[in-house]
Amino acid sequence: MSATETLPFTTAPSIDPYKLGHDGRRRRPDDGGAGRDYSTGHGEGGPASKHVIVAYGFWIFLLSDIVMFSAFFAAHAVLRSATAGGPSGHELFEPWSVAIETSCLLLSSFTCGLSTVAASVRNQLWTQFSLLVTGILGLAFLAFEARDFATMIASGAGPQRSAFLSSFFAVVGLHGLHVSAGLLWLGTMMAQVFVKGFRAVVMRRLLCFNLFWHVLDIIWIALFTIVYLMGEGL
Amino acid sequence: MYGGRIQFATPMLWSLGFLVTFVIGGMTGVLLAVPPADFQLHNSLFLVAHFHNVIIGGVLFAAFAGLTYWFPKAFGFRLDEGWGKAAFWLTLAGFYVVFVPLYATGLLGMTRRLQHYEVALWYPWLLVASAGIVIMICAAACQVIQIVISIRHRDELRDETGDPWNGRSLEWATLSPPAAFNFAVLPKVHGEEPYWEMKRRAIETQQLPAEPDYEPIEMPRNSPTGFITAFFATITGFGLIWQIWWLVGVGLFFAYATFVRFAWRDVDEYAIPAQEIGRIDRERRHVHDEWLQQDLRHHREPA
Repeated sequence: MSATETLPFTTAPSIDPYKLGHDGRRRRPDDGGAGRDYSTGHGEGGPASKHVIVAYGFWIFLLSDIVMFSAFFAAHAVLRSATAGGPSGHELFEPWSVAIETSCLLLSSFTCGLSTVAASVRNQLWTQFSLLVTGILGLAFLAFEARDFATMIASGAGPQRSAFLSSFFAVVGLHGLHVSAGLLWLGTMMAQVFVKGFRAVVMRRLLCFNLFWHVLDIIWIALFTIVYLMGEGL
Repeated sequence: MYGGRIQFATPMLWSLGFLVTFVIGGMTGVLLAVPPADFQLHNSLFLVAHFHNVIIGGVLFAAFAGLTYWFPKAFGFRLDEGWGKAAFWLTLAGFYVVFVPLYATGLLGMTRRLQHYEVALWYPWLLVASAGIVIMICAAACQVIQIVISIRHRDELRDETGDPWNGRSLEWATLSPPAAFNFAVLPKVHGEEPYWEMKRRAIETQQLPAEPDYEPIEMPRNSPTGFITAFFATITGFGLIWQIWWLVGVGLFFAYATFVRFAWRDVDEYAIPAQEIGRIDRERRHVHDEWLQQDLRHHREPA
């Protein structure tokens, strides 16, 4: 009675097109001592490569983050018109500022994508440059958002004013907090790429950071639509 | 359970209690979903009885079933069956004595969260419910005693084989508690009940499968990062609530510093050498082999 068996490993190739259930050691040479980026399973084969497992785990985190955001979105959708006699979105939002924020964030996602291209060809200069531009665009986004918040609060439209404003500051602020945390992470990643180079573990972290940054962009699109565009119409 | 030979061990009792209680809770829930009935029952003790029927039956009973079932896997010894069964029967009885009368008072118009009440009609029902609380307190005491007694008698209750319930799923293929690496070699799974198949095959062939080639296993290194970050996050939260802004800064800084320190690690795994894996797994195979031989002897003897 044992969990261990040594049956020959047989898998029809057609049911596993991406070779996830196969042992990477048979196919890929060692990458020069930089750490293996593939299965550490044992016996005949093993689980998917680390690259796949790490990205999968990070997607689960991102999806749980999206679940949290959807709760904030739902609250905002319900409270949108609960202005308690205070200012509405139409009176408060400055479309030109929101447009700049959106452009900054969308462009930063593009440059973040460029950093992936540069990292995949192991180009230190272009990786760092694209990450730096990503960070500067992220900072610009945050600066405009902080300016918006400060203007609103100064005009008496702070989160305490109405349920609409509470939910507005909650959902937009939550996104802003994510961007801030992302910027800290970005700085850490730039330092890691600089000091440690493109070793497997750094590449996996870059992948996760990219996923994170793009998801923040997706959430901003939803914010832009639901909070700003639809709020403008009220 | 259909077609099976059911053994009424404590986890099975909790599961059966769950089924019955949850079904009753579900049916009273259907009543609440009928608008004319709900017009009368809304916010009454009938509602309170309904959701306790669902949540105690559905969550608590199931949690106790799971706790009793997997306790030996986690800690290496079983929980005392006598005290476990006493806890179950007292909980089940106490539960119904508390909540069935509440259905009645709900139908008699008693709303929930009353500060005081003067309706004589409700008194007998509420007295019965109070008696039920006493039964449930005894049940809770049994649970505590069960754990204390089991820890005291852990040597007699030791789970020697790793498979105290004659289980069918893979966790029971390991010893209790399992080795850090869980499985020395990835098990092959062909069906829904892999460990049962393995046991069947071992009995049919009268031997364990051949010893596999052991290879080193990479394990994630332990790290206190989560704990330390959580500590500083708590400090940050405290600072935010009491508006101590410098403390917020300190908390955030050290939480981030801990993250950077963690992110900078070069070695995040350690390898358990094949020798060590083999040593631990041979121990398991030895236990399983003894068990198998005992089983075979038992089968050879005339009934």
